[in-house]
Amino acid sequence: MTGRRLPAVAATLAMTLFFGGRVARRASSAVDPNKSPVATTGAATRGDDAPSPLPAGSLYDLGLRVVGTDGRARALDDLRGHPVLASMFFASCPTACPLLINDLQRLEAALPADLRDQVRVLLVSFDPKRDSPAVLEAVVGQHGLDNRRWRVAAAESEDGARLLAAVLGIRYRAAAWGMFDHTVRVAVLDGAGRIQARSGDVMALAPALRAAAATRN
Amino acid sequence: MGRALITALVFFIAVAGAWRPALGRAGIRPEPAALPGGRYQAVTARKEAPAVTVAPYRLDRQPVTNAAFLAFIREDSAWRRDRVTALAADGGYLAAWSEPLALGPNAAPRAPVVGVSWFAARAYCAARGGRLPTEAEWELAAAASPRERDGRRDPAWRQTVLDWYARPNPATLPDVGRGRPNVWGLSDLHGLVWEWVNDFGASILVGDEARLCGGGANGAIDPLDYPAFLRAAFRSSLEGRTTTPNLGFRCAYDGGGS
Repeated sequence: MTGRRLPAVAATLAMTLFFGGRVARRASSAVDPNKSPVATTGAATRGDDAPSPLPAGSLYDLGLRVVGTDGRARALDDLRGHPVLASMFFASCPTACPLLINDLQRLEAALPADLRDQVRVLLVSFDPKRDSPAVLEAVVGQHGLDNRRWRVAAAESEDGARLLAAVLGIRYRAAAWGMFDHTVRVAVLDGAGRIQARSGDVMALAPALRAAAATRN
Repeated sequence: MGRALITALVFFIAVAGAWRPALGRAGIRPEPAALPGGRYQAVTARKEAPAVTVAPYRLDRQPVTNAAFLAFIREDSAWRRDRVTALAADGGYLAAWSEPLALGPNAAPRAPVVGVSWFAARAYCAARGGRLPTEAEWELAAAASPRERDGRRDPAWRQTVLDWYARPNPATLPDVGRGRPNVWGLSDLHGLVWEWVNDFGASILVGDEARLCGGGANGAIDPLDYPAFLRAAFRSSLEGRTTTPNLGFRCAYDGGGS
C-alpha cells in the first residue's frame, strides 16, 4: 500500500520543488499543487480498508476500469510514467468529438518527436452501452489513431464515467436519439496520474504537457 | 367533551407515530425512507429528451449531520480537512469546523454537515453502504409536499419552497429534522441546505460553455417549476471538488427495502 504510493509522493514533492506550482498556475483552471503534498501524508495514517478515492490526488487511485478495443476491462495503471492527455467523448457524436480528436492530433503533431513518443492519449467514452469494442475500433480506424499511443475505451460503468468526468471537469447528459450534450475539456496528467492542467483549448496545453514530461513518475 | 379528548388523543398518537421514525432514538440512525421511484424528466432537458425511469430506492430521512460526518472522518482520516487533496476538495472543505477533528461553536452536532465536496460525500455514502442519490431520485423525492406525492402544482407549497430560496443563510445552521416531513417521511429537502446529487455533472445550461456537442435551445418541460430551475442552475455551477457553506448531502440506497 505505502510502497505503491511512494512514487506519487515523490512526484508531488518533485513537482513542488522544481516548478513551485508555476505550471499549474499558468494553465487555465488548474488544480493548486501547493496544497497536495500535505494530503499525501494522510495516506500513511488512514485505515487500510477505508474507502478513499484520490488519496494522493492521482487518477490511478480511483479504481477506474475501462473497456478498450480488445474488449477487456482494464485499470489505467499502465499509463503510469507517461505524460497523458485525457478526455471523454462518445462515438456517435457528430461534431464536437471529431473536432476534439483532430485537435489532439494537431497537438501531437506539434510536439518534438521524443516527447510525442512519451505522450499517451486517453479517450474514454461516457456511452458504455453503445460504444462497444467494435465501435471504438471503428473510431480508431476512421481517425488513423496509433494504438501504441492512443487508448480509446469506454467506461466500465455509468458511475465510473461520472467519476472520471468529475475529475476531468467534464459535464454530460443523455439527450434524444442516442446523443449526448457534453462539454469538451482535456486534462494533462503527469507520470503519477495527477492533473496538471485542464482546458477546452487543446493547443494551450502544450506547455503543461512538456512540464509533465519533465517529471517522470 | 369526552369525544373531543379521545379525538385529540388519537390525533396525538398518529402524529407521534409519524414523527418517531424521523426523530430516531439516540445513537441509532433512523431507517431510510422507501420510495417507489417513477418517471422523471429534468426541467432543463430538451423537450425531445427521453424521460428517466427510476427504480424503487431508499433515501435518508435527513441530511447527514456534522456528528455523523465527524464519525466517518475518524474512520478514514484521509478526509480530514488538513489531509484531503486539492483535487478532492477545495479550500472551503469543512471550514465551519473549529478543528480537523472538532466541530466547535459554528457547527452543531445535529446540524447538517456543509462544506463537503462531491468526492467526500460519495466516500461517506459508500462507507455507509449507500451512494449519492441521482438527480432524478432527489427531485422525485423533493416533489412531494407534506400532503401529496407531487405537490408542485400546489401554489401554497410552491411558495413555501420559493421563500427559502429568497432567505439569506443563517449565521449558523439549525439542526436537521426540524422541517415538516413530506409524505415519504423525508425532512429538510427544502428549507435547510442544498444537497449533492451523484450526476450533478448532467446539469448543463446552454450558454455555459462555448463548445457543446449538439447545442441548440432548451425546451423547458415545466417553466413554472422555478425552484427546480434554480437547483439545476446551482448544480451546473459545481465541480466535484466544490464546497459551499450551504451545500450538504444525504445518501440513497438501492432497492425499496422493507
